[in-house]
Amino acid sequence: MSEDALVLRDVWKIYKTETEEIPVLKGINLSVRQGELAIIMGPSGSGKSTLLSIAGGLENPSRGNVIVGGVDITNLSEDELTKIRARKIGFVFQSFNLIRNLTALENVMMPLIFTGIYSWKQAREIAQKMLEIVGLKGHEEKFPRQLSGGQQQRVAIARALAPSPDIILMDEPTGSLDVDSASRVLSLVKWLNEAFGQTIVIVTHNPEIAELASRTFYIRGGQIFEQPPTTTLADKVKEVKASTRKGELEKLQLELLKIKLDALESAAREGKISPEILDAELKSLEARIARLEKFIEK
Amino acid sequence: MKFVERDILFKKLIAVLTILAIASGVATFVSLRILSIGSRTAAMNIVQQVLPGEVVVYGQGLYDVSEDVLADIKRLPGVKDVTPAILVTGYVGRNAVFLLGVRPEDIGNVVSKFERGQAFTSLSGSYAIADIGLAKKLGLKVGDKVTVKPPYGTSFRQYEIIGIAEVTMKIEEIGAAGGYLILPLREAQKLLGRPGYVSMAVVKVEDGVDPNEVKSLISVVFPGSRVMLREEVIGIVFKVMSLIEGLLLSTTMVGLAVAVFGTTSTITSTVREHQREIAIMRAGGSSRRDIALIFMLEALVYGVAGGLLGIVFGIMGAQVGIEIVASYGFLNPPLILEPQSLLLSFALASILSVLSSIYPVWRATSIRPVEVLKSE
Repeated sequence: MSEDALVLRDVWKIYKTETEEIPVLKGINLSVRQGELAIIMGPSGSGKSTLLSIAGGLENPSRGNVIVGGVDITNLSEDELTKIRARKIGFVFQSFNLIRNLTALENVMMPLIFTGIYSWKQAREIAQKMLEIVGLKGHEEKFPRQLSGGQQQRVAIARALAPSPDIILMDEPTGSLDVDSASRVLSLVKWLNEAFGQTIVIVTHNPEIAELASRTFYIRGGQIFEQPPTTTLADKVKEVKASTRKGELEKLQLELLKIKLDALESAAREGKISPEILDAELKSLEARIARLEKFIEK
Repeated sequence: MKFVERDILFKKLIAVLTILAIASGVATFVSLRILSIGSRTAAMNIVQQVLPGEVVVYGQGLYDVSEDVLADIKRLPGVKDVTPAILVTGYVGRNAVFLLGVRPEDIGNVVSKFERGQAFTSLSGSYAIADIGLAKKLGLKVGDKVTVKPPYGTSFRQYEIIGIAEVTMKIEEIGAAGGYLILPLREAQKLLGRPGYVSMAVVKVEDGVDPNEVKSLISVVFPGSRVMLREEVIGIVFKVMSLIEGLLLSTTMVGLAVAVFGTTSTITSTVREHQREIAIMRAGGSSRRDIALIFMLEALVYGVAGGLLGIVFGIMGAQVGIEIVASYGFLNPPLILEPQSLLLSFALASILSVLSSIYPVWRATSIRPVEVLKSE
């Protein structure tokens, strides 16, 4: 039996529009071993949520294979995927996503019932224990609206943990929490990983979370790396600057400001702007134009 | 179930309105059905009471069945008895009334009970029995004299009221007449100027004889007459009632359509409202069937509640309807609760509610968790 809880082999995800194809994931290769706490870091739009959806069987890859707990889920039918999700995968989302009509206890019982292998009594017993583990004993009968953000996220973690899945996938689990609640939730996550040996994958853009990880991956432009990216934001700015000829952008800016100046004057003639506002705007514009002209002359 | 129960409790007003929409459709169905069964029963009783025989003979005109002919009919094989009667409209003062001419021995067929006074005992004599409604309307008492005019001509005759009674053959609303005045048969003939003629005769056949054979025999012997079986008369009454029921049924259909659209709309809004939760449940391993069951169950709850409430409202509505019909004096339909009809309406409410949830349920099960959850 494989020791890997999650394996992604050459996974591609390409979204097609009417006119173009947008590759979001470009041949991702990733394996997370059992008991690991893996963090996937990346900025917005880097493809980390898509990666998580594919790993969790919520979305099919355009190419490649996804193996969860030793089962290749790539080509499974919707019904089979549903069963796999119920038994092998737990999800924790940024906005908790609890069922508001159900109590904390019922929310945790829900995935257990969906597995089809537990009786109501067993599900109830497990859910009570899970809530106790995440420190919510005594809150069983409360509805999500009666719980704080941190408590709701802990219910969500208990819910993900309840069916003893092979892997728990967390998408920005502290994104909606204040600093204090976030640190409590993260300690719980770390403790669950260490005490239960629960495999957890977290995608985030928060570098502080990376401190908890057994392994950290970095995702950039649809590709995954085990080393942090060497290029920084400052490097990117330099790159952009270098790609344009000197003074070109400033000239463009000067033209735009002059158009705005003309538009303001014509609006003032038609009485569309009050004289006080116009005066302030003109002063500001003239100052900016003068500064740019000086810069271009240099 | 808890999800459904709390969802309904959370949106109280919409849930109540949906249940009421279903209840109104069911109530219309139930009340019309009860009214229809009651009216048919009442109409059948009237025809059976008024027509104390299996075959009815009419002439071509209003009252041109000769009593000689009736004597001949009585001699036909298989005929046990022949009851002659006159039924025309006339006037008491300016009030239109039904004039009913019967033999003293046939009074029991048209009067259910006497409130005051008594019946006449001979074929002739200036006596009359007034219907309770007419007596009330004209302020008639036993011993009063009334002047009666036939439907045509200027002649009139005066009769003494000797009894005030409840008439079973109440059709004054149809004839636009104000009530009944029962006269001895000969007096009615005198008033109409048609001695020896009646407007119809009811033929009672011997036990074991097929009324159809007697009907055929009368038609052959007296080709100018219109001969009908009592069942045919009942059939005509029922046909008219079916026509009215058909029109009322279309009203019920509109009510049920409103209920169906109401349920569809409520479940659709519930699905839209719980889109994210459906996505979470799907991500958490619930099958399409689990999701479908939740919303179908909610629709079923509306259907069951609306169905039960509709039956109660329907029975109450039928009672009011019966009182209204009875107040017209035409029929006095009994309140008959037919278990099949009540079950049918309950089943109709439940099944239609579940069926009306098919579209929203299809939308709920088509939700792709990734699309909903990605929007956070």
